[in-house]
Amino acid sequence: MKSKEYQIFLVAIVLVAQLWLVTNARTALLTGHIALLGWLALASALSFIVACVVVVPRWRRMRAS
Amino acid sequence: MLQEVDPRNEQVTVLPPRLESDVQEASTSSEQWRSEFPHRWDEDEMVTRRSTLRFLLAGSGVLCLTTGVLAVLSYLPSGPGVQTVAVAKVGELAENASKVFDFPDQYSRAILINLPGKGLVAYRDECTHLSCAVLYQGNGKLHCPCHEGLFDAATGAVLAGPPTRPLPLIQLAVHNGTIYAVKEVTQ
Repeated sequence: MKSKEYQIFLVAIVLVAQLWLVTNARTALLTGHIALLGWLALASALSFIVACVVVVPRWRRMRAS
Repeated sequence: MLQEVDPRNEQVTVLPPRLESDVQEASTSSEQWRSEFPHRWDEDEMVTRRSTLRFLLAGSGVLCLTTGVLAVLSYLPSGPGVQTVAVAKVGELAENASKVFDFPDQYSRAILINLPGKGLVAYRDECTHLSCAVLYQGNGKLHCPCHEGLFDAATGAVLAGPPTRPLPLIQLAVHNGTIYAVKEVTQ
């Protein structure tokens, strides 16, 4: 796998993980497991940060070149 | 300069510069079919890595926001904050006795129990499984007859059966010899 495709693969994995998190968050909200929701939101925010870390440096390199 | 033949009128037309550059790029990237068929149409747009990453990142942001909104929603009050309802007089209930009352309105019910050693406790009189009314058995347990759910009358915690959540607690207050139900507290 090329390095550029590897970035897409990583962000796609992050997206799938976030889908799982938001599904769990919805279930937790409906079933009253409120204490879990904060952790799920935190994990989703961290996943988004990871996606940004993977993507943004690539854009900067492309702009610089 | 590349040329193409329009099959409809068989006139030789000159390709625009953008298409010409595309053709050259395609031929260098071993896509021979493009040089052999150099016609451009809207569906021919390629999805770039950058647009894919942008799309994935936007999706990630949306999912992050959605999860955050769900977390914020859970901390918002679900109903009226404080709605005081007079339930009973102090001393009206004997030990291990219970009383069902309307709270917070006539469409919902709650149960007040005088537990030995713990005093007065009140819960929403609705099983957290399928909302059947729960009954106090007199042995420190609340029973749901629909699916044999059991709750601890001291804490509202599930002891047995299909329910997974504890019974919502009703906060009580005593004023001038009257017991009031103040608000529902989700455990």
